[in-house]
Amino acid sequence: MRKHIWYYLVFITVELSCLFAVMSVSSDLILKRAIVCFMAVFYIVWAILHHWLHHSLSKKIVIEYVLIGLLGVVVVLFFIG
Amino acid sequence: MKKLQHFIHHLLFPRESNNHRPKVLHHDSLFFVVALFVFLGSVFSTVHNTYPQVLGISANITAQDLLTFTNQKRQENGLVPLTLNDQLANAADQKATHMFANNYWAHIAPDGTTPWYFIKNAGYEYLYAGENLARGFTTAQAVVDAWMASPTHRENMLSANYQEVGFAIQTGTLTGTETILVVEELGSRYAGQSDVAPAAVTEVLPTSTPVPTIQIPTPTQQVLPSVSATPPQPTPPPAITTPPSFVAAVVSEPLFNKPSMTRTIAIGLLVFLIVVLIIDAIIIERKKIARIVAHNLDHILFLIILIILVIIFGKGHIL
Repeated sequence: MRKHIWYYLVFITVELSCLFAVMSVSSDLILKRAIVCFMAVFYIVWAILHHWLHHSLSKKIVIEYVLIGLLGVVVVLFFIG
Repeated sequence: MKKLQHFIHHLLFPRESNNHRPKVLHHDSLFFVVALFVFLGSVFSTVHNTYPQVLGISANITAQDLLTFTNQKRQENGLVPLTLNDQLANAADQKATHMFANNYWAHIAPDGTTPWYFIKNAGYEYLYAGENLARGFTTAQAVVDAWMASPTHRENMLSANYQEVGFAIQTGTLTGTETILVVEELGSRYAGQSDVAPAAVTEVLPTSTPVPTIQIPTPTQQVLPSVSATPPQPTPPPAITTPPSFVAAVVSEPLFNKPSMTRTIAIGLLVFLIVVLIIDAIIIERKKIARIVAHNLDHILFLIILIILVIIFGKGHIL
């Protein structure tokens, strides 16, 4: 777990920054959607890089992250419209 | 019964039958959930647009309730209650209409029109004037509570300078989101218009020439001071015609409340996935099973952030 701490710190920092960005542009739906999409894309890229750097990347893993990222976007957009 | 139990275990727990990964986390299941939500989203949107009385936004905001809750707060703070003023209600109505027509969420319109234009346009000669805005709330109490929680809005609501108030409550699409907009215009009239004898009022005015003081709640608690000896004269936008009386209320009770329904479904699914991922991680850790899958912790963190996002999106906003 300790060797992964920096990856998680980067991930949490970027995602929390996005949350603050969402709060500050809370009235603009297009920006909201764009930020949600960015959060999902960052999540997928970050996770793939994480696995690649630890030599544990496979096609199956890439698909799983893409599906979870896509699911996140679809669920949030389902709520905000 | 045994079959059902086996099926639930197959769906939710890692075991031999699902290759030691809960079935709901398999690629085909995740893809199915994505497709299901795309389908549900379009169905909800269609039903909402076609039958808003079935799937709509449940709301109960009236000017009378807003006035009552505002005056409660004022009286708790030893201030005289505000009275409803038709001209300020007219101004608030014009402002709300202008915001929807020009698609902006701000005190000052993109074309430079200030709140004071609407107040003057409604025939209200003010000595003090202020404006509070709210959107995305469904009850009057929630609106007043949100304003009271913000220092600058609170200052406006609890200012002894104001004697009258007007509210507008309108529904429409603002910056891409269907919303309930609440506009509150606060003011006290220029002495020349008040019921008090003009001579007596002139004596208590701080300057020989009355200067309007205008306040806008901003994050820096900035007070826009008097800008000239005469009330501000912004570039007049196209005239807005408004009816003479203002029914400031939005009361709707659809069969299903879309925001709370979609929020419950979205958060429910995200929590369900987090629980399955946690159970999966615990069982696999205990059994020391090696497998090639993504890190559960990554998914859990991402899904928790999405839950926070949905909660943030569901809140109303004030300005």
